[in-house]
Order: sequence, then structure tokens, then C-alpha cells
Amino acid sequence: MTDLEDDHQHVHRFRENRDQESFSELYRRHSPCVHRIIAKIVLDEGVAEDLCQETFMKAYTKIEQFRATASFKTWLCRIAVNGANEHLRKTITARNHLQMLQADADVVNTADCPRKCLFWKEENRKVTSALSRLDPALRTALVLTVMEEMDPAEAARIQGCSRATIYWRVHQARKQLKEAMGDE
Amino acid sequence: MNKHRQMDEALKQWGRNVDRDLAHILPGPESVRIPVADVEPERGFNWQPRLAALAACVVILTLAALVILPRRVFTEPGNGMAALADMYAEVTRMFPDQSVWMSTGGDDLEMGMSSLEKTESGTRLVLRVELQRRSGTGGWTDVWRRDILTAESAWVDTVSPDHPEEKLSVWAYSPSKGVWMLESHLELPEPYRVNMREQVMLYTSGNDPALRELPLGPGLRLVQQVLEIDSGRNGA
Repeated sequence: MTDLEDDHQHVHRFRENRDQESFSELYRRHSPCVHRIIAKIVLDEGVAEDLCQETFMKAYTKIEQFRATASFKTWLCRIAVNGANEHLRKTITARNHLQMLQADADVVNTADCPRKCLFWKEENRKVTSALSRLDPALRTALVLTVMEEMDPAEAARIQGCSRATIYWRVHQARKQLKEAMGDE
Repeated sequence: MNKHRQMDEALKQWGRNVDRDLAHILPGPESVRIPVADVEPERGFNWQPRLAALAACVVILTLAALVILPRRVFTEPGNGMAALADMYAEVTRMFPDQSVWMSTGGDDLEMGMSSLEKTESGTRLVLRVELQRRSGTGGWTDVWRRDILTAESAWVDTVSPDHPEEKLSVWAYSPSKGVWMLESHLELPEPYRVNMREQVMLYTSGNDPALRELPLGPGLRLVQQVLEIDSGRNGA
């Protein structure tokens, strides 16, 4: 049985019998990937952990809306990406986000607070700074296709746009990153 | 292309660093902290976002009709692009992961190659950019031309080692059959002094390439063409 079929079996069992073990298995399989993606979009591990939990909460309550035409992972990632982007929209503007993240990095000692500052460690600082200046939609496209190496068609399903839009976003993101990293 | 590879590698390394640190920080995903209480599945149907999307579509289509469609130009057949596509189809078989460009100007012929990347789709296409001058007889003559074999959505920089002041960067994507979105940046030195950066839509007609002719001044014009390599005919 493939992972995809296995996922669908667990979803089916959870829907039919509210089998908690099935949902826990789905969580064990997919939470690391969901967590990774969210963390790279919001650039804050603490927020990412909360958003990851929220993602599975939503999946739990909205499981009836899942259609087996897509993979469970794609559906879950779509919830996660929407949640991460919603968080960025609600809480802060992009400019404030950058200032806040940098302030965090300046104030908190990385050794004392690895959750906050792993993005701002010396080895990560340049890329984090450049990524934080990108529009969240562009950053998300880059995270999905370049870092997670997803097929652009799957990234398009997750971001709820066409494949053309994904190509365009990756193209624009690379251009802006090049400028931002050149400015460093 | 190498610059993308370098940047993507930097991003992947950044991702690996973050993943490594996250793995140290986080406990293993043993269980899910979800209240199991009486949570009922939601079945609501919200029309509001659908109406907003429909309105956006109407606006975009109206703009397309008013702004983009009047620029559509159809090409004359038999302008050598089909032969070029045949030749490049051979090159594609020999170098499946490469983009190739050729440049001609005066008596010079130059070539360059670079690697294609994962995010670029498999569709191969030929781009031709020509600078033409009106000749004494009223026709148009090429004074500079660059042909590029590339893949859809690949960003290609072509800079010749012998003429580094002549630069052409292009990116093409086909959002639907017969329509090409082209972004380009062209720099040519004296005597033409071209420095142009633009994004345009080009339209094909049948099997002919998409074509655009842009006047650059008295007796000078830029011609851009895009032709998808037909796997059936060219075997690419």
C-alpha cells in the first residue's frame, strides 16, 4: 500500500469511527513537514509551533471537507500555508515584521533562546534577512518549490493558484532575493 | 542560470540549517494535543470569496480586452524559425538539461550554454530577438540577432565573453495555449544604445511563432519571436 493510500485509509477510519489512533498516525506522519514549512514562512519557531497545532486542529474539525482527489498532505499543507499567511497579514505589516524579527535577534541571546533565534544565527542571518523582506506569497512559493522541492503543480494546489502563478512568484522571489542579498 | 543555482543552493543550505536546529529543539511528534470533545465537522458554504474571485476575473478579462489584445500581432510564415526549431531539437537531444544561445552580428557568431533548473518546466522553446535597420530598398536587415533555445519559465542570461556590453536576459512562460508571457532585458552599446526592460504578452497563430515588432526609433526596430518546439514534428 502506498503512503497516499495509507493516508486515505486513516482519514476514512477517522471519519467513520472517530478513530483517534488514525488521526494521531496522520499527525505523526505529517507534522514534521507541516512544521518545517510554516517555520520557514513565518521565520519564528515559537509561532510556527502554535500554527502547526492550529493546522491540525482545523484538519480535525474540517476533515469532512477533505476530498480524495488531492493527497492528504497537500490538503494539510494548504491549511498550514493559509494559516501562516493569515497570521502574517493579521499581526504585522511586512516592514514591521522585519523590524520585529531583527529586534528579537538583537535582544535575545541565541544560546539562551534557540527557538527565537535559530533563524538569526550567523550562518542563517543573511538569507533570513533577505527572505523576511519578501512578500509572504513569494516566500511561500520559494519555500515549497526550492526548499521542499515540491512539484510546481503541487505548490500551486497548496497556494490555491495556477502553475503559471507559481512560476511567476518563484521568478519574482529570486529576483528580489538577488537584490536583497546584494544589498547585504 | 548559474546565479540561480548558487542562490537555490544558498536557500537549501539555509533550509537544512533550520531543519537541523528544529530537530534539536522539538520533541518527536508523538501525539497530537487536540481536544477530542464534541467537535463536529463544518459543512458551511461561503459565497463571499467566490463572488470576489468572480469579480476579479471580470476585471482581469476586461483589462485584457482593452489593453493586451490590441497589441496582438501575427507573424508571416516561413521566416526561418521552423528550421531553427528543427536544429535546436537536435541540440535538445544532445544536451537535455542545457539552454543554448547563439548570437550573430556582422560576421561574428557566438554560442553559449548554461544549465536548466528543477523549477523550470520541460517545454522547450526557441526565442529569437533581432535588432533590424531599414535598408535603402525599404526592407529590414538584421544588425544584431540572438537565438536562444531554452525551457519554459527558465531565466536565461546571455552575455558574450567577446562582447560583454551586449546583454540579453529573457524569461518566457505560456499561461495558456497560444499565449506567451515574455520578460526581457536587453542592453546594446553604441551605435544602437538600447537599454530596455519589459514584460509583454505575445500571441501565436496556428503553428507560426508568436511575433512582436517594436519600433525603437527612425529606421530601427526590435523583433521578438517565440516558438514552442513541437515534439511531434521535431522530435524534441
